[in-house]
Amino acid sequence: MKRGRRLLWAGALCAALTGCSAPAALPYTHDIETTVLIRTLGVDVGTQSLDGVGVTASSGARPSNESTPPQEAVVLSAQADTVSAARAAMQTYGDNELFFGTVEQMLVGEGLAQRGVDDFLTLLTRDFELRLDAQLWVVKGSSAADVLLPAQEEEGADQRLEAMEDDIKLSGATLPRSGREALVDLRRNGATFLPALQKSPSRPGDGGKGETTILTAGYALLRDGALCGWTTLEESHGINLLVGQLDNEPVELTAPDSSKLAVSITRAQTSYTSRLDEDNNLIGLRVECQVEARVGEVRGGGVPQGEELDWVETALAQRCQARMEEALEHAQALQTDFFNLGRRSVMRAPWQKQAVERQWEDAFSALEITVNAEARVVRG
Amino acid sequence: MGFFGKQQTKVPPHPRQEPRIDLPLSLEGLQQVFAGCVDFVHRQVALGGDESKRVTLCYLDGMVKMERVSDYVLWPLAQDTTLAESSMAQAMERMVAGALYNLSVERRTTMDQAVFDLINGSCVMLFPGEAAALALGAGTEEKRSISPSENEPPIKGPRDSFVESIRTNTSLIRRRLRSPDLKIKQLLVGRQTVTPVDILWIEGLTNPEMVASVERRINNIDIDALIATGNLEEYIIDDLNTPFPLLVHTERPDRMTAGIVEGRVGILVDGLPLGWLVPGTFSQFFKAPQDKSESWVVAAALTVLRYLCMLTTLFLPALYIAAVTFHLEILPTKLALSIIAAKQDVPFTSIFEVLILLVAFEIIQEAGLRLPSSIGQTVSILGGLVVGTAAVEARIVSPAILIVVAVAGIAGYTMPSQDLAGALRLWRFLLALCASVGGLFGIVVGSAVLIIHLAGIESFGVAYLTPFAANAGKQTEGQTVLRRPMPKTKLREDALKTQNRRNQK
Repeated sequence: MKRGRRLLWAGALCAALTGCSAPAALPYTHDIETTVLIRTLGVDVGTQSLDGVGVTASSGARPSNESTPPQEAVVLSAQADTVSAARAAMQTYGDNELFFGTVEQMLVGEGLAQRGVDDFLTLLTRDFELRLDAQLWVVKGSSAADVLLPAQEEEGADQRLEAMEDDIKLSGATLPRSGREALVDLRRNGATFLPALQKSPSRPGDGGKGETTILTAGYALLRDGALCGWTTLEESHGINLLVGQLDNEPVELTAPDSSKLAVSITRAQTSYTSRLDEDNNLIGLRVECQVEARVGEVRGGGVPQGEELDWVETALAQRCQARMEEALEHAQALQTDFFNLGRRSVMRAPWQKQAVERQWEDAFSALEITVNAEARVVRG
Repeated sequence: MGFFGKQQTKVPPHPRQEPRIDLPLSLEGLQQVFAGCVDFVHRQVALGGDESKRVTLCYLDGMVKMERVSDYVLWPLAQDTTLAESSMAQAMERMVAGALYNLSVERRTTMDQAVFDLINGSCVMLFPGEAAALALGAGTEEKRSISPSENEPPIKGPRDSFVESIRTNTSLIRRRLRSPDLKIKQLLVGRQTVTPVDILWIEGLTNPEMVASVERRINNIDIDALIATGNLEEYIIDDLNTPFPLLVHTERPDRMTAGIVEGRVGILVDGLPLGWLVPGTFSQFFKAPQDKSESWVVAAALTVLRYLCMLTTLFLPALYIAAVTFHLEILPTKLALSIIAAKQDVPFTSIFEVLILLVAFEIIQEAGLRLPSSIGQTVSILGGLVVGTAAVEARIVSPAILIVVAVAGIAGYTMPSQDLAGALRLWRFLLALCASVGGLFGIVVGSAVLIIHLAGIESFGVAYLTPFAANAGKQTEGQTVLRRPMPKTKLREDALKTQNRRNQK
C-alpha cells in the first residue's frame, strides 16, 4: 500500500518535471497586475473588408495607488472578419492582457446596426468573457470608434460614457437596455429598441469637458436585428410609458396663468387590451396608462391647488397620451411592433392568445389603437 | 533500505508484567524496590512504649504530610499501651478497627499494592512476622488553588475551573451534580506514570454502550506515560488521520456538568486541568460556554456568525486566489480595478503572495504563543502591524492580500474551540492550494474532499457531521446547532441515544 502510494507520488512528480501541464479543462490564469480591464467595447462595420467588423476597446480611466503615476486609458482598435478575431488581434498589441469580462457598455455603430446585430448578440451568449447584461447602445450618425478612439487623447469622451452609465437612470428620455433584453426581444418578437448615443459638439451645460460630447439620442428601432429607424424625444418618452418604465425627466407644463411647472412622474402603469369581434377578428388595441406624479417646481405662481391641480392632472394626462400615440404611430408606420404589445395584451387575457398571435403581425400596422391616460398628482 | 520500501526491522515485544513487582511484602522487599531512592524513609516504632514490640513505618518523603503522620499514627502508637499487650496480628486488627486516627487504613497483602500506596502518599506499616501490612493515608494536598479559566473566560457564569488534582475536579462536578446517579469510575493508565483516569456519567441516563466503549478504549491504552492530552485523545478517538477534534475538552466544571447531564460521558485525568466530553461532533465545537447564559436569540445569532466566520476563514484566501487569478469576471469592476491598482509594482504573483502571507501569519501566531504574554503581544504587534505596514509600503505585498489574510485569520479566532481553529487553518492552506491549481473548480474539488472526509468520521459511534448528515431527518430538538428557548427544548440530542430523552416536564 505504502509502496503504491509512493509510486503514485513519484509518477506525479515525474509528470510535473517533464512539463506535463494542467488539463485543458482547468481555467486559464490571469496576471492581474498586467491585466487591463476593458470596460467599453465598440463594434462597427469593417473598412478593410466588405463584411468584416471593426472592434474598438476602451479601458476607461485606470486608477493608480498613491506611490505610482496615474495610468493612461487604453483604447485599442482592430479589424477582422469576426469580433473574436479582432479581439485576439488586440491581445498582440502589447504586453498587457486585455480582459473583456468587465465590459459594461457596448456600442454598436450605425453602419453595423443597419447590417444587423444578431451575430453580435449571439456572440454574447456564447463568449465566456463578454456579459449579456452589459448595456447596449447604438451610435447615431457615426461609428463606435468615433466615440471611443478620442477617449485616449480627449479626456472627456470616455469619462462622459462612464458618467452616463451612472446617471442615465436619473435623467433623460433614453433608458439603458442590456444585451439580454435586446436578445430576448429579437428572439420572441423579431424587433426591439435600443438606446441611442450621438456625438455632438460640446456646449455649455452638456456636461462634457472636451470639444465633443456624447448625448443620448432617443431609441434606435431594430427589426429582424437591423436598424430601421430612430425615435424622437417625445416618442422616446412615449415608449418608456408604453413599457411601464420611468425616465425621471420632469414634464414641463405651462399653466393658463403663464406659470411654469415641472411635474415628475413617480409611477406609471400601462395595461393593454386586445379588441376582438364576434368572429375573433382582431379589430383594435386599447392602451390604458395610469400615471402618478408630483409637482416638483413652480415658476411664476403658487403651488397648484383645487382647480389648478385638476388642470395639471388633465394637462399631464394629455401630454402622456400624446407621447404614447406618437410612439405607436411611428411603430405602425414602420409596420413593426417594437414594444411587444401583442404579447403584453394577451398576458391579461390568455384565452385570446391564439387569435391575437395569429393576426397580430399582419394587423398591427392598421390596427385601431385607443390610448387613454389618467394622471393623478399625489403631492402638489 | 530505499525509497520504494524500507527494510522491515522487528520491534521487540512489550509485555505487561503481572504482578509488576514479584517480591514478598517485607521491609527488605521495599528497600529493594526503592533502592537508590533518596526519598524512601523507614523507621522503627515501639508499640505503646514497649521496646520489644516494634513495627516499621515506611513512607516517601515529600509525599506524606508529616503532621498527619505524627498526630494520627505516631502519637496513638506511642500512647496506646494496649497495643503492646496484643500480638502483632491483634495489634493490626485494632489499628484497622480504629486505634489509629487516620481516615483511611487499608490492609495490603501484595508488594504492588504497598508500593503504589507509598507512591500515592500513604505510609505503609510493616509488622514483624506478618505477611500483610497496613497502608495509612497521610498524603499531602498540595495543589493549585481554583481560579477562573484563562482559555474559556466566564462572562456571566461560575468562575471556577479545573485544577491538576483529579479528586478536586471530581468534587467540583459533584458539587454541581448532586444526584447519586452520577457515577465516577477510576482507571489507571500508563506503565510508568500510573495516572488515574476517571470516567463520569449518570446512571440511568447515559447510553451504557457509550460508557462501556469509553471504558474499553481507556483500558486498552498501554503506554508508558499519560502526561499530555494527546496521550489520551489519540488512543481513544475513532480516526487518527484527521486534524479535526473528535473530543470536546473544557476547563470549566459547569460546561462539563452540562455535558454529562445532556447524556455525554466525561473523562478526567489526574495532572491535567481539563476534562473531555464524548462524543464530540462538528456542531459541538461551535458552542461557547456562555451560550446558555445569554438570550437564545443572541446566542443563536452568534452561532450563525461563528459558522459564517468558519466559512470565511476556510474559503476567503482560496476565493481571493480564484477570483484574482482565474475568474476576474466574478469581481465587481471597481473592486477589480482597485485590486489592480494595489498590485502595481508588487513583484510576486497573487498566489505566491497569499501562500507566503498565510505562512507568515502562522509564524507570527506561533511566535506569540511560545513567548510570555507580554513579549508575545509585542511580537504580534511587531509582526502584524510594523512588518505588515512596512511590507505594504515597500510594495512587497499588496494591501488587498494583507486584508484578505488578516480577515481570514481573525475570523478563525472566533471559533470557541482552538482545536477546530487549528484544523480549519490547515484546510485553509489546502483549499488555497486547490484554488491555485484550478480556481473555483479547485475549490469545489477541495470542498468535496473536505466534506467527504468529515462525513467519514465518527466519534464514539456518532457521525461527526450530526445533525447535518446521518440524522434521517429526525434531529429536531436538542439545541444541536442553534440555541433554542430552553423551555421549548424538552428533548436531549437523539444522536446520544440516551436512556431518557426528555430533560424537563
